[in-house]
Amino acid sequence: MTQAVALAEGENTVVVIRRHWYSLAVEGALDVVIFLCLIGAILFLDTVALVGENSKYADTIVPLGFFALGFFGLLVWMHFFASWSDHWLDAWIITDKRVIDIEQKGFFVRQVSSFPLDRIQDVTYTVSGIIPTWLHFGDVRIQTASISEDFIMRQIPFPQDVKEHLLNVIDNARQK
Amino acid sequence: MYMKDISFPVLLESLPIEIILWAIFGGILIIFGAFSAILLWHWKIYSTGKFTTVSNMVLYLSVSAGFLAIMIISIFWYSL
Repeated sequence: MTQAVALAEGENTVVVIRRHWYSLAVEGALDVVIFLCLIGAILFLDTVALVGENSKYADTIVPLGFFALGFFGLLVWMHFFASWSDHWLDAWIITDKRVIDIEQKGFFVRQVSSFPLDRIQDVTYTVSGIIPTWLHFGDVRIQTASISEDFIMRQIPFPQDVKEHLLNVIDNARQK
Repeated sequence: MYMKDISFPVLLESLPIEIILWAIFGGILIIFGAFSAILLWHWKIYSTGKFTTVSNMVLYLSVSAGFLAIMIISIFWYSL
């Protein structure tokens, strides 16, 4: 297994958490809408080119329509995959010693921060709204002694389970 | 001087459409190649799972190849 972050000797990954798929769906919805509109427009143009007097131009218009489909389809697909990469490469890694926050911003900005488990003072979670309640995702807020602002894992699936999991890991770490 | 009323199909016939299509295809191929190289490199060094990395890359390249194939077939179709 490839490690995105170098762990210390004797440090083990407990869980890797990523944002809920809903956040990707919201980002990808625009791509899907654009692609469906594109298909609709090309089908319409091709249909127009195949009926009545326009049929003599079908050999010209229809291939150009398919070319446009390939061209714009590839651009939309590349944009969607960039969004998917951003979604997948953002992660929170809970190890038996610390919590690591990895944030990928575009292709060339990558921010990795971490804090040890023994600095955690409190863990709370919030599920706010109809869709988050329905799809079981929300924010987990971690209050630490070392950083001025709270550490927040946003839009993660099953925040209650993550909170319980994190508290168990903290308990285990303190017992060692 | 006066402007002749030229219809769209006549305009298309007067332009070197085939060359333009190949030029657009070449341009998008260069952009796609550079973008994909950066993307694959990112996944290789930052992804946390080998299976996910490989399956995502296969999916990405397969769908992309499909769109590129549509473009090439369209150009040959136009040339017929």
